[in-house]
Amino acid sequence: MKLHRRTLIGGLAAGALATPMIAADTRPRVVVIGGGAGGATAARHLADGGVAVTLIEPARRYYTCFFSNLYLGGFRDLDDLAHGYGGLAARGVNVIHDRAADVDRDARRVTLAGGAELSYDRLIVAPGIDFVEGSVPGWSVAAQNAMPHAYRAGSQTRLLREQLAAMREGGVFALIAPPNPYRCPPGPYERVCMSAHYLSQHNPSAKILVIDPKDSFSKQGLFEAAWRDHYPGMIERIGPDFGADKVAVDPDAMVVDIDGMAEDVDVCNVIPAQKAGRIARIAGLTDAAGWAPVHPEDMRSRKDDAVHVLGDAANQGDMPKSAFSANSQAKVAAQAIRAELLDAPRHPARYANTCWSLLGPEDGVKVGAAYAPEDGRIATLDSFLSDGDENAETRRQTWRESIDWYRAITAEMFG
Amino acid sequence: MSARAPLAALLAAPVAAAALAGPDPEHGAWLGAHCAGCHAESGSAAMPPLEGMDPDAFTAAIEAYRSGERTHLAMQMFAQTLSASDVADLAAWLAEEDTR
Repeated sequence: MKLHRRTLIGGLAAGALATPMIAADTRPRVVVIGGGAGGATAARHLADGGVAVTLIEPARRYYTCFFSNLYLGGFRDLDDLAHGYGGLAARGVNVIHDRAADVDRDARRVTLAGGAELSYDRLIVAPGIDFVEGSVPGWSVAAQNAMPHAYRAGSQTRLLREQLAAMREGGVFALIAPPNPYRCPPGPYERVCMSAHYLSQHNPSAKILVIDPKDSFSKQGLFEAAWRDHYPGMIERIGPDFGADKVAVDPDAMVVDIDGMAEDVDVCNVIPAQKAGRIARIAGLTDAAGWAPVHPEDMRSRKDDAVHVLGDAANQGDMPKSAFSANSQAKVAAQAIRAELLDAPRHPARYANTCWSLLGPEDGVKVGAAYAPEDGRIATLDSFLSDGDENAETRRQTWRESIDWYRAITAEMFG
Repeated sequence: MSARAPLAALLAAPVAAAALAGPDPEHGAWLGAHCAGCHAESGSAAMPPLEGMDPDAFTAAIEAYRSGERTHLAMQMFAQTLSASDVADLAAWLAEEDTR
């Protein structure tokens, strides 16, 4: 319709008269900090259900950390892992690309780095992880270009891939694994598989040194069998019995010091010890260990009834820090919030997780569990783990399943 | 429970009385939201979308996983964590979805 000046003025006048009739948005307000698996899923489910939802996420393009090892292995492009927030906006989520700088829990107000202030009835904090300074002496975020962590996906993942591609023939790639608890328990070991796959194609005389402060790790038998069978002679793991719990690095000299024994390395992936994302700490939601304790019935913060903490940042019990877990927790929290704010029905919490790992081409394995609240924490009801003697067809099916899951969860988060 | 169940038995057994109310499709929808973590609209033959699934075929599949007649690591485990009334609630939800 072509708008004429006169009709415009008439329309404005009518609008002015009608103003008292136009009700302000009286829907309850939920602010979600963080647009990953927990935050994006919660925003979507709340927006579907009569709540005014604002999502705060700095990145316009979000790179999923899950599946980013497949990029290192050459099974995915980095662009395949990138997702935008247009789908959530189309569902009515008010998406703001900024960083949450502060939370005033008494006033129920979030302040953004850009200066804007947002009031909330309920706050969801889903900021993912941050790194513990000094957990690997010699390494800091300032050294992440020399020794990438690649544990928040995007430019760091690309950098690690480029460094592996540029490594001299027969070079040494060191991966320093983190202590528990950390994001994606099988992640560092799948990364070893994917790096080994890439190197076996392009630099077969290269070596991979896994420096691990832990005695044992997720899917250990399956990973160690894959290292032996798929990549014979390439991978060596050093555990705490050989000093891997006392590791330091010199990023300028590209030296790794394992309990006093210096190793020259060509590429070094430092995955530091972890804690809840910064805003969870600024908001005063974390415990002495750096994670945010929550009630298992609804992921509500133990420090504030008006706040829920989802995903990696939460200290909840048995669930691993994974995208699947965060997605599952988001549904429970969204239901609880809708029940309180909208008088919607509420059913007992259930949680689930599955973590798939790719060992080599079409060789997928998985671990998973069902969970429920018990004795103040999220406890395992039952679990499963891929068998070491599965046939190739089962492994191929598991790999295909993981692809379907990636499509499903990213569609739920961003679609 | 027969229609001639004595009233006293009903009063003494609130749980049984609740069961008489029949399956709860709303609770089924809540459980189904968790299934959708894998069984999404974008599903494949390996992970078929839950919505649109025939309720009887769904119930039969869960029973087959529970008995071990069908094998799948995750589905056998999740089927075991569902009670008989959970399965009935999910089927009731699927039946409601079918008629939409």
